Amino acid sequence: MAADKGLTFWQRLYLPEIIKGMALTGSHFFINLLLLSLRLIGIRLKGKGPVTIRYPEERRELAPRLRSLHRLTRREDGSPRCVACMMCETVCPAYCIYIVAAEHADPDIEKYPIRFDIDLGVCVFCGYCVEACPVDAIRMDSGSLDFATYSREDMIYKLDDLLKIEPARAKG
Amino acid sequence: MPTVTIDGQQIGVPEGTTIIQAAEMLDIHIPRYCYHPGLSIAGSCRMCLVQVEKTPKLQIACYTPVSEGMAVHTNTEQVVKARQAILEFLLLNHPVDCPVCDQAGECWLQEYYMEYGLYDSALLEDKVRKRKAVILGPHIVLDTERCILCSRCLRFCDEITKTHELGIFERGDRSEIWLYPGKVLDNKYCGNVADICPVGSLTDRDFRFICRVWYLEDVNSICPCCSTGCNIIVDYNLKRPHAAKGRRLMRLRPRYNPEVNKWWMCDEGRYGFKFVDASDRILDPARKENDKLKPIPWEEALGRVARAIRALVDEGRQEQIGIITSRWSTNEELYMARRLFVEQLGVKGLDHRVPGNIVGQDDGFLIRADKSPNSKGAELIAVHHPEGMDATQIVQAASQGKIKLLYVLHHDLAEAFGNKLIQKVSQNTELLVYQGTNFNQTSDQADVVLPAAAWPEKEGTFTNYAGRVQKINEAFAPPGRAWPDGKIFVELASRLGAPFRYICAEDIFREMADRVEPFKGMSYSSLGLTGSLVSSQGE
Amino acid sequence: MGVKIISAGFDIEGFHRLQVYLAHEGYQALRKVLTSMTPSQVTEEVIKSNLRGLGGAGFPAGRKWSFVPKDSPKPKYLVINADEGEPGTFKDRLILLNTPHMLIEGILIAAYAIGAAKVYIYIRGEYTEPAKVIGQALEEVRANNYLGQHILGTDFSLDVVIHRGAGAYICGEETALLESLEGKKGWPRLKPPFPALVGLFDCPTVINNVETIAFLPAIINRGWKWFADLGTERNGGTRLFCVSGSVNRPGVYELPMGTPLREIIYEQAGGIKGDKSLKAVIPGGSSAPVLSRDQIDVKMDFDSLMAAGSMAGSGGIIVMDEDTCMPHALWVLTRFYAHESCGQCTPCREGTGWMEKVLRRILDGTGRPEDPENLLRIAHNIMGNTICPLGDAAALPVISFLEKFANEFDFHISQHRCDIEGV
Repeated sequence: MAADKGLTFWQRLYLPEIIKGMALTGSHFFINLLLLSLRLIGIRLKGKGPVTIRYPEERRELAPRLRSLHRLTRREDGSPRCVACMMCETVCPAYCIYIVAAEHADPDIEKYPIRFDIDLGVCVFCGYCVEACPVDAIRMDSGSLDFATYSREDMIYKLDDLLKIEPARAKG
Repeated sequence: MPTVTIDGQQIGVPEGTTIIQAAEMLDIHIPRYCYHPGLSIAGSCRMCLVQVEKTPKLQIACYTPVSEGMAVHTNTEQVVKARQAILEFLLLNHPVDCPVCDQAGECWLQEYYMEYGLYDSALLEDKVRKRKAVILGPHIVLDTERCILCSRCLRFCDEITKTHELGIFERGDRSEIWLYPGKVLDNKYCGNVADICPVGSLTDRDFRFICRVWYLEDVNSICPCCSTGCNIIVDYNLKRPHAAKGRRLMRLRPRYNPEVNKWWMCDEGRYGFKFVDASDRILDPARKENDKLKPIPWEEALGRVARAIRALVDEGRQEQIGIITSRWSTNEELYMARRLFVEQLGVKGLDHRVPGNIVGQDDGFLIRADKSPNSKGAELIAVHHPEGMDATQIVQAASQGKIKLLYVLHHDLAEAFGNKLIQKVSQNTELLVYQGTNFNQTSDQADVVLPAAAWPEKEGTFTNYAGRVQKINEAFAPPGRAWPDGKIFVELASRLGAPFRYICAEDIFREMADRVEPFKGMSYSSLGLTGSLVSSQGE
Repeated sequence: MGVKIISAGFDIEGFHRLQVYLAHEGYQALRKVLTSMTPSQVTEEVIKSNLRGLGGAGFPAGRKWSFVPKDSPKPKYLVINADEGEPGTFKDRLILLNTPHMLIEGILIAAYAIGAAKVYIYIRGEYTEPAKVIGQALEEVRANNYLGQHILGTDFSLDVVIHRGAGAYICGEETALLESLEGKKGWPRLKPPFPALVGLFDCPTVINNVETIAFLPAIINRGWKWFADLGTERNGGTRLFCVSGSVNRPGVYELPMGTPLREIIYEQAGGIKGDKSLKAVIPGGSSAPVLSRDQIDVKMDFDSLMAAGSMAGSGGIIVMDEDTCMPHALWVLTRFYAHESCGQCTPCREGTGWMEKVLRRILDGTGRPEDPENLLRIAHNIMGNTICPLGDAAALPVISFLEKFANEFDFHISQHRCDIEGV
């Protein structure tokens, strides 16, 4: 076969190559075993050892600008900062935000949402809602990426759900 | 006829024309806030300052009359600078709370800011705080911080309604629009002040917070709440069905027609559309079964009505058929009813004159006592047979069993004649058909109910009290399985062996204009935006 | 010490009484006018006398009368503007208190000249005592047939009504005054039409200041030439200068038109208090642009002051010495205008309040380097863009103070404190 033409004699012997390969794999295995064991007792050698993240026990550090699960920010009294201006609803290219506004008792707040739903099954995580918000009421800094559910209805996050979500940094 | 040159364009205008009016004739828009063509000149906002040659100071275009040989410049550097300065002053103590303001999107401050805004605020100090979200009356909310004190609202209350509810109190930058002691803004036209308010200071309580204006689509129409036929714009929202619990019709606004309503409309008409999206809309054709209405297919409902009519006609018992047509129907629908029932089937018991449409008195301005939009059309199209019975006689006859089939359009007979009589009608007729938009006591008694489209759900024309034929247009489709009256007639006619060959409302109008004398020579295109008068105005 | 016309009466005991006034040529001019002169002769006499409107604008009084249409079917009105509100001005009060009959005689002459059906005296609300005195004087003349039906046995009849204001500076502006008189909110009207054609109750109306009218008896008695010769070429007679501020003898001084400002301050008013040096003078009521110390050789008449970049205004001379903090003085003035702006038109309503806030901030030591420039920008944006002159009146002091005393504003801004010791 044409492909075999470039092989040397030793390579054609087959077994020596197998042994070489086993040795390489074995050395990685034992070195990693050693390094991981050292990590267990707190010794960490820089640039050495496996880079695989052992999800879900271990989590990757997220980039600060990553757009993760939305959350609604709160005023000091815990009520939503959102004034129901519908800017996010308007700008949303996926039409996945549904807001219903009502009159607030405090005329200085005047307007607030009594319904604020985000259908995450439809959301495209473009972040336009965050950009459009004039009062910094919606953010995508929760750091939460795993919110799969068993039903489509559960993918719709309601006002109270969104208010409860904490930012990634606060979680530590 | 002085001749004036504005931005290099010459125009001859009548004596007394102001610069702003002359510019409008040349399609030059001069920014303004306090100027409103329907109100007196306040000259206070100073936004319309323009440069007049040989005059050292800038002049306000709304107040300065043109004179022979006058040369005006509306866009020089000096003028633009003045506009920027005025806008800066207007926004100085304005809260700039556009996110919560209903006017956002149709606010004149936003509008002109795009062109004349300075963008970087030079104000470091606190803004003047004033009262917010004050309820002035049943329809209007006031935000005095957003107010630019153009005084349009108080001039409206002084000059148009002459009710004098509003005044400007305090001085300087503490000035506030407020109610005079003991007054409430509850005149019959107060909704207009929200329209003419160029900013978000006066907003409509009915529309407040339910929908952003940029979600709205609009269509020109005619107010159906009385025989004046005020020209209106129907603002509706279909894109965001979660807003206002699915309400489609969001608000009505007056549309300028110098011959009818000028710039205004009354509150009765403005808020009289709630039945359109009400929960009692009839959504399905239905027949009564064990005293309950059971939804049925159109085919079955129409078949039942058609068979009953056919049977009576075939037996020559046309006098046992009664049809109550409606003053709320369009000219086209009324004409079809006449064509089908009177001309084709020879029914004599057909009339629209159900009592109860006269409420109160004409107010001498826009509100008329006749609360139906098309009484004149119904008269002109002669939907009642000259030798036939009137509506009252038809209902009486039906209650006595002399009429076996009563077909009622839109009218709540129970309200007009009393529920007892209608119960008797129901018992003594073989078939009581109710065709309408909403359930009522009459529909409760009916054997067959046919769901009809409301006025923003169909196309056609109304003829107002003065004989002005004006066009209504479809904003959105009827809910559920409802159909426009015209379509129901077309379907019924084909089942009665007298098929109509109309494809659209315009076809009907064309034929009617051909055959009904007062409408001679009219067409949809000749009606235009402001309508036209029928040829012989009297009876 | 020169000719005194009105103020001569200030020194006569009981001059506000009809008997005393009659003993000093009182109502001679009225008798002369009613018996031997036609209305147009009176107007002609006043035009030739170069009598200027002394309320502030300086419009020739006789010419104002001549604008009233002779053949109007509507009644004509004469309105006396006694709403003396200009800060630094207090001459009309003295006339009302001391020489009310001079004013009433002048009113009768003017009403005869223009054919007025009725006269209204609009007195500022704060002038309780002057209103009382003029009211008593009117009672006296009414009882003695100098007022009412067939005055002095002639066909001339007239009634005078006193109307008291409710404390708004803007009601000194003649069209705001008319609105107020009609029972409305004191908001200046758009002009034209001017009141001479469409004034009070939409009828032809002449509005004159108290002092202007009070000069009329003397002009009629002594002739136009005598009066015109007292003043300068186009500014006839004398006027009452109100000197206030840091002078040894503040008060009202009647001096010929065109008297140098230096003479008024140093000779009449006795120089600067405490032998301090002069810093600045406002020569014609608070609305007039300020003059610096090197400008005080200006002649005090309408034309000369205009040429000097200020205005003669109401004759209120406010003298400020070296210890005056100019930013503070300007703030006081601007606060007044912000408080008194009627709120009708945008630039003045918003601009006056804004300027006051910026000045307050400079005084509080939180001024920024760009503040003076911003103040000038605001003032220029108000100037000329308003319905009535209040906008200009608020802007002019700001512009003149900032131009002439820029260093003081800069000191406040850069050092966050005042450079005047002990202030």
